[in-house]
Amino acid sequence: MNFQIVGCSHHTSSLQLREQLAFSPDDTRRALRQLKEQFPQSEAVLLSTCNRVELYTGSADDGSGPSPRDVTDFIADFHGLAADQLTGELFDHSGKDAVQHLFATAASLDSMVVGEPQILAQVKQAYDMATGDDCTGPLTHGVFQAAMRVAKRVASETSIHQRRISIASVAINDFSSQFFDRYSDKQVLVIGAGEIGTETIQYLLDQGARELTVINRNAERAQELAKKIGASAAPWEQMSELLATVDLVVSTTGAEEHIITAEQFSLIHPLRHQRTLLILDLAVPRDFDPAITDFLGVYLYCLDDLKEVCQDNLQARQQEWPKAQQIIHEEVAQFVADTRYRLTSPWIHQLKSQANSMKENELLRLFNKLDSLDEPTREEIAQSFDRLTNKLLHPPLESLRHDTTQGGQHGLLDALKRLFQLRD
Amino acid sequence: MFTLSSITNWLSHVSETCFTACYVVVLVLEISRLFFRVAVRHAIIVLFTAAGIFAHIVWFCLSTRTPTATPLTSWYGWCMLIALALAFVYLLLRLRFPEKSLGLFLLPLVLALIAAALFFLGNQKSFAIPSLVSFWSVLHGMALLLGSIVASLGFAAGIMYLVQAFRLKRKLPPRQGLQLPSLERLQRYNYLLLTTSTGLLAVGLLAGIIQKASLLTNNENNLSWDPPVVISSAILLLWLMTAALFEYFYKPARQGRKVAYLTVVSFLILGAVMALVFAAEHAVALDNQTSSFQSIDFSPALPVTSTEETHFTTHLTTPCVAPEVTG
Repeated sequence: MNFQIVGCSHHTSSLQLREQLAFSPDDTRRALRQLKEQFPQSEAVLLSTCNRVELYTGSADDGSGPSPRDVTDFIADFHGLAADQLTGELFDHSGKDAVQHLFATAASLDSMVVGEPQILAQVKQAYDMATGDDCTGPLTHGVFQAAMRVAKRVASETSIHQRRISIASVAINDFSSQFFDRYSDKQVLVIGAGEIGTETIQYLLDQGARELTVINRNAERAQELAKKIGASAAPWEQMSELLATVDLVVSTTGAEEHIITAEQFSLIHPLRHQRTLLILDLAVPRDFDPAITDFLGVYLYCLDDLKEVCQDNLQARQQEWPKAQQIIHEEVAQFVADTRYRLTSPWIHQLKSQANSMKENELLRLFNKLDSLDEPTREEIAQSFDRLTNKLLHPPLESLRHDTTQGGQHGLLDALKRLFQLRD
Repeated sequence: MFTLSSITNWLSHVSETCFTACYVVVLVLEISRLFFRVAVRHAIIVLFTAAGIFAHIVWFCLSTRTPTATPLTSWYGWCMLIALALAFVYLLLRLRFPEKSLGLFLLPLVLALIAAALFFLGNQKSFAIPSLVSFWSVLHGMALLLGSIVASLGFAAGIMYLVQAFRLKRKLPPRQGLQLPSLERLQRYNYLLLTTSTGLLAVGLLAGIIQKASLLTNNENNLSWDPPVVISSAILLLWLMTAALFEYFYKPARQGRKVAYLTVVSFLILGAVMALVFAAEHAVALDNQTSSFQSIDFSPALPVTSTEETHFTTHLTTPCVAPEVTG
């Protein structure tokens, strides 16, 4: 099996290099076409995400595809870099290792955030793009379709994808979703403009939040963020007024003291009529006095609460890791065995044809000599010849199947070719 | 080959044990979700619930084949019917929200109603059969029945809200095996179920009062007002009116824990009132009309005359308040 991968990922290369080597969708199409021109017999799929750039190549015949060195030179050349700049920066795998890498990547076991679901869609997109540009063939079809099937198996048989491990996703998808059914009619107050807060807001926008208000001590920054996320900005002095009406608060200021104390909140609370209020205090130190959580209808979550869940989820994922790896190993072994066995099928077909031809010739010769035989007798003799041929071929073919699925260590295919004089 | 008679014969063996066992299996499966994952559990739960409901319906159909033992003419049948309605609602919710642990809250109610029917109400007298079915008696029975079903659902939703609020207040992480609807959804359901049950129960009670008053006006069978029934009904009506006014004038009562508490308390008061009414043998028939589901004869039904048929329909639609009321 002539299948290989050359590339870089967050495990092996710096962000700077990954940025240099990244391919936009247009670049990907152009690169695949150029590679096809240089290696017409080769199949190729190019996967380029923010965490990895991987070029998968394969060919039906050994020697007709590019070598790892050729692929490295091609990538360097495409990006206008000297080939030696990439020396030692890119990794390469071939054969079974390459298949294993692709399966693990598609199943999100090689991702920066293990279990993140986007990678499968990205692998599928890369494969579809290559197929659309006529750059794939039987080998890449087989490997990529198997990779997507394996990824789905890992997702369904393990819970590795089900646990979220980023603060923002845990805050919105694990906790906030237990309070609210939908966000389109919820009023969200964003206090400050910290990094986690911005990420959280992005999750909220993805979930359909529409009514966002940003407040910041620095009015200009509030305006800037509000413009960026399509929200409205309000002056800092309106905070109490807003807290009386909103459903969800995301707070990420850099304040060194509580911006809302329990005493201050006790004045706001009666105005809320015990309506549910979820406060995601993602600031360090905290923006909201922890005593606020004692008010009826108020649910206050701080960064530590969310981090704890993230840690638990990460541990749960790690516990699922061996199970996922086991699935990958099983699937790789099965895929390699199937592929090897498929490679022997032309020879098996030739051997059977050869045996069949001999049998037909012998039957013809026999029936010419014994032309007095009636039809039932002829049929009986023909069936006996069939059984004899099948019985003779069955043990060697079974041994060949077993040998090829085990890696062909005994060289039975070569022996078979020589013994029965099978030729291309 | 299955023939109609063999199927009928097979179905005639359906008893309370069949559907109760199904519901118990489903509850056990729901509880097992708290501890481990099994891919086919949802399918098994749906299958057993559907089987339980089917057996429940068959049991009702068989029960109504004898004119002396119809399901809505006794407290026993009344409880069994509410249990059936709750099981049906559970099945619908299970299909709509397969990941939610709704069975943990609804199935104990279903089983509690069946247990109450089997252990306490099985040998009780049937409701009296009215000589003339009036609109008010039908409205009284139907509104109280629907109100009881809605109040039971409200009770389950209220408990769910309180459990969910408790977990979130204590910042307990989401659990794979215990997933509940969001607070927002539970609050909406609680409010809806509370207002609907309040309305239905109030209509049922008023219809009962009008029915009783009309019977007294007609001086049928020398009936008088039944003190325990009057007192308990007055308590229920007073509570419903208080709850309605409380909700209307006190804004926090329409949201959060308050509405959950109101649904739970409404259900408990309804249960207490029902127990009082039951203890007073309200609407039960004289001894010669006594019938029990335990003694139902499931042999092929006897031919029913047109008179009996009319009489029998009356049973189904008029569970209470009748001229023969005792006490």
